[in-house]
Amino acid sequence: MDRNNFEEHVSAYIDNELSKEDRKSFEELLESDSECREIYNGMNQLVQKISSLPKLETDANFRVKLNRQIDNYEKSNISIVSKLKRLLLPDNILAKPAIGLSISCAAVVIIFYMSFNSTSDNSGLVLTPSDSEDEIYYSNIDSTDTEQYENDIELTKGVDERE
Amino acid sequence: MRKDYSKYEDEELIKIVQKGDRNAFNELVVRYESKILNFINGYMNNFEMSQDLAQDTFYKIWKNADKYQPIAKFKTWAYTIAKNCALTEYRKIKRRKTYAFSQLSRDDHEFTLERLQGEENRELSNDSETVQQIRWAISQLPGDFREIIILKDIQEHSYDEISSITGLALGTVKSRINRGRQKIKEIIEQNRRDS
Repeated sequence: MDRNNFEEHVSAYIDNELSKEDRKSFEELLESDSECREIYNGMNQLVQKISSLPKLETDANFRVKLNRQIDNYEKSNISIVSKLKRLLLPDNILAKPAIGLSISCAAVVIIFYMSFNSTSDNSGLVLTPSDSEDEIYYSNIDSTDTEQYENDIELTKGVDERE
Repeated sequence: MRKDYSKYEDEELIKIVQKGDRNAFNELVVRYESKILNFINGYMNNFEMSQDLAQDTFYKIWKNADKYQPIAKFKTWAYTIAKNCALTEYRKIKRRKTYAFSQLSRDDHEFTLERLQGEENRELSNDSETVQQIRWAISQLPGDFREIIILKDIQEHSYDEISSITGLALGTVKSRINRGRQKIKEIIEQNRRDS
């Protein structure tokens, strides 16, 4: 440290943030150079003034107001959830005879239909490739594939004839 | 029985807050209410407004507790929220002032400017060079310096702590503290010359 960079270290010296070595050379400069002393004194006075500023304290109602604000937030949060619940799942949905009876009937019909389909002839449920599916299949084959397909048929024919 | 949270670390407390524990949250409020208030006041230089913003900061901490990640210190996270609250309000006020000012005629501009400057200077000279003047000078610092000066000289954090709160390198913290204090001196001297 020298006279040129002395000023950069003034705050760190005041805040006790200099290394032992730097502190020593700072103090040497402070003793030998009156201009350095002046810079240091000016800064030191300012730092004392700033740190002696009275600290602000929150007033007595701060926590009360904050907790009230959080209570309101929590209440509104809970009420949104409960409103949604009420909308989607009314508490006494099964207690209302009309709704309860309708749901039960619907369930019975669905179960009856499913069990009937699984025990009866499955022919109605078996899917057979239709003409339209063939069309889709062939339309997806490009010209080279078609030629290859025809060649394969020709070769197969030959084999059959040879056999 | 109510738990005694006073021996818990901040990071342990916020984890408990994440489960919805209000007592753990209140312990954090007790620890930080004054620090956050003073930190915000460094930006606003207005007690009432700063207190409202401090309340807002804690409200946001409660609402967003689940977003806190233990990779950062709670202190860093809380100050970041406080800083955002303060800056948002600070910009709003600035915009409002600019808008209101732009609505005046040219004569009004000159009158208002003189009046405002006169009032400000009177206010400072009444309390000559003390509390009000220094607070005002701090609030006039450019943002980067202001934050560091508040953390060092008002909150009394060490250089290491400031570095961890702000995410700045130790060398940057050191030079900003020094330059920030020099700037405060300059602002006070400039104000004295102007008045």
